[in-house]
Order: sequence, then structure tokens, then C-alpha cells
Amino acid sequence: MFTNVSPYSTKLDKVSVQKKIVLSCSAAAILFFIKNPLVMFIIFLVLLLIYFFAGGLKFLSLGLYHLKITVPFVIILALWHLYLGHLDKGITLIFRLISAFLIANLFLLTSKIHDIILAIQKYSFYLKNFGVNPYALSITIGLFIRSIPILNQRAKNLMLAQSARSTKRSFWRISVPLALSILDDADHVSDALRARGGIKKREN
Amino acid sequence: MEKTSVLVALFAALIAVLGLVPAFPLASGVPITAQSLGVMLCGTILGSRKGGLAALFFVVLTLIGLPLLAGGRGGIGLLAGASAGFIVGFPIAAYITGWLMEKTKSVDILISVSLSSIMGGIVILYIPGLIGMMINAGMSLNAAIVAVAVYLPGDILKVILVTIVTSAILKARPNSVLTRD
Repeated sequence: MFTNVSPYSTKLDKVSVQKKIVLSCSAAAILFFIKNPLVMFIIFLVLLLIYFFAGGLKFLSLGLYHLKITVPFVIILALWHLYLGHLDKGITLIFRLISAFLIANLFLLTSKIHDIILAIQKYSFYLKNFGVNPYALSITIGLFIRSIPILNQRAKNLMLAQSARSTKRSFWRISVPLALSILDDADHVSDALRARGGIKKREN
Repeated sequence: MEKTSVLVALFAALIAVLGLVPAFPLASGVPITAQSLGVMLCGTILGSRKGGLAALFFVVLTLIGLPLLAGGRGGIGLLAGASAGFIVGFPIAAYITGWLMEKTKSVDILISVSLSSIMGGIVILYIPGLIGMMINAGMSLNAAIVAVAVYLPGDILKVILVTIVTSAILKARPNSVLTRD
């Protein structure tokens, strides 16, 4: 379902997901405090070097390829700041955006979704101190991840059924049956959870 | 507890699935996606608390790194992009939509849903959205308003769809629309 992991092995693959989450969040947060365009550009170059030393030229190319989603925004930022004559600010914002995506993609490309989910579930137990039921959170995460491909397939099936009855394919016609099927699923799954002891009982 | 967890998970998954509907990238850097439709549905069907939780759950997992946003985007880097305000605004929008639905229980469902979705899914969602564009794109308020005006027709269509879906669910499964208990 989620296929963002790099096909090339890197030196960061074996670093724990927890460390990578903390490091990537901290690095992205630091970017917001940097106002100097030259410093921002140097950070961008350092990130490219990290990609290169972590996985070689192919991994660096993959990282740059994943930046394609930033292209429209980079163009509009460049044009907008050229129009205003604020070149320094424009360069800072553009390299901040690109660097933030490089950091996020470095984490995504070197971490399996399964490991990310396990890390979230592990650390969710600390939320118990804030009144959050970690078992409920754990089950919600599992259900959420499992439901995405199921709902996606169901939407496709409904679309096929609809196109068999009409020459036009329209999303709005399947929206009501899709929403109703989700509510039915919610009834069935919560009954099944209760039948197996429920979430509250797991706390004991 | 079980029902709440399941509803939060399934509606968060619905927001993610709506991200798989092809998005239309616009020059402002914020794409037109169907995900805000899911956010509005969370509010109108689940209500303020559960709807807000579902949207918050989706946003937190996306920011941690799951590529769930339209176009397979995810990660903390999103906070540096033009969509940052809209993403952060999802839980607020769902909460306010649900809260307004709960406050207009006695009003006709069509009016209640459309008013709540317009207020929560457009007016409230656009406030952090505009702030995000002003901070991350260095735009003035007027320029940001002009940039987001392009999304209004699509959002009005989403409000109409949310109204159709919520009223149809109320007819088919009256107990499932939690804002009308």
C-alpha cells in the first residue's frame, strides 16, 4: 500500500525508527529558526551529502526525484519573491521547503511502514500518563492501517458496479453506499472487539 | 470505547482513501483534493469530539511520516509547505463542523449540514490555511486570499456532497449520525 521505501540499501536502514523520528523532527524544527539564505543553502548541500554518503549516487538521485512534488510551489515562490524584489527571503523559503522535504523523505525512504507503526505503538504507552488509553490507541492504529486498502478496494468495486449501470463514472454516486458500508463495518468490528473481551478489559 | 476507536480509525482511513482520488496541483502549491470532504464528513456524522479525533489521528500519523496526504506526501516536512495551515486545520475544521451540527440538532438536516460544513470546512479551515500560506510562502493576507479563492468552487461542491451523504445516512441509518442522537 505504502511503497515509499527505497529499493536501495542505505547506512540508515539499520538506525532505529525512534532515533530517526526524533532526529528528523528536530532537524525540521531547527530549519524554521534559520533566516540567512546562505546558511539555508549550506544546509541543503549538507543534506545532499548525507544522501550520497548514506546510499550512494542512486539513493541521492532517488531523493532528488522525490522532490518533484515541491516543484510547483518552488516556481510560485520564486516568481512571487522576484515580483516583490525580496530575493533573500525567497531563497530562504525555497531552500527551507526543499530541505524539510529532504529530511522527511530521508526518514521515509529508509524506514519500513511496519517499523514506523511499531515505534508509534511502543511510544503511545507513554501517553497513558496523559489519560490516553494506549490499548485503544494501538487498536485504532492497527485498524486504521488495515482499513485503507480495504476501503480503497471497496471504492473501486462500487465504482465498477456503478459504471456497469451507467455510461458515466461519478464519484458522488458511490459516496453514500461507501459511507454506509463504513458505518456497517464500524458496527461489526466493534461488536467483534467486544466479543473478544473489548479494549477496557485488556487494561486489567 | 470499542465503537469510538473503530469509528475514529475508519473515518481517518476514509480521509486517507480520499487522498488516493487524483489531486489537481495548482500554482499556489496547495492541490485540490477530496480529503477536506472526509474532514467535513467526520464532523457531520461523528460529531465534534469523535470527528475531531479522527482528523487529528490522520494528521498526527501523516506528520510522523506515513505518506497519506494526496500525492503520497507525508512527514514533518509538510509543515514547511504551502498546505501546512490546511493540514493543521483539519482537526479544528472537523471539530467545529461537528460542534455546529450538535448545536443545530433541531434545525432541518439539509440546512444544519450545509451551514456546519461551510463554517467548519471552509471558513474555519481557511483561517489556519491562510496563516500557513502567509508564513511559508511569505505572502500578504490579500495575496493569500486571492490564492485560496480558486479552491472555493470545489469546496462548495464538497459541501453539497457532504449534505447529500449525511442526509441519506440519516434516512437509511438514523442512529449512525451521531450528531442527531
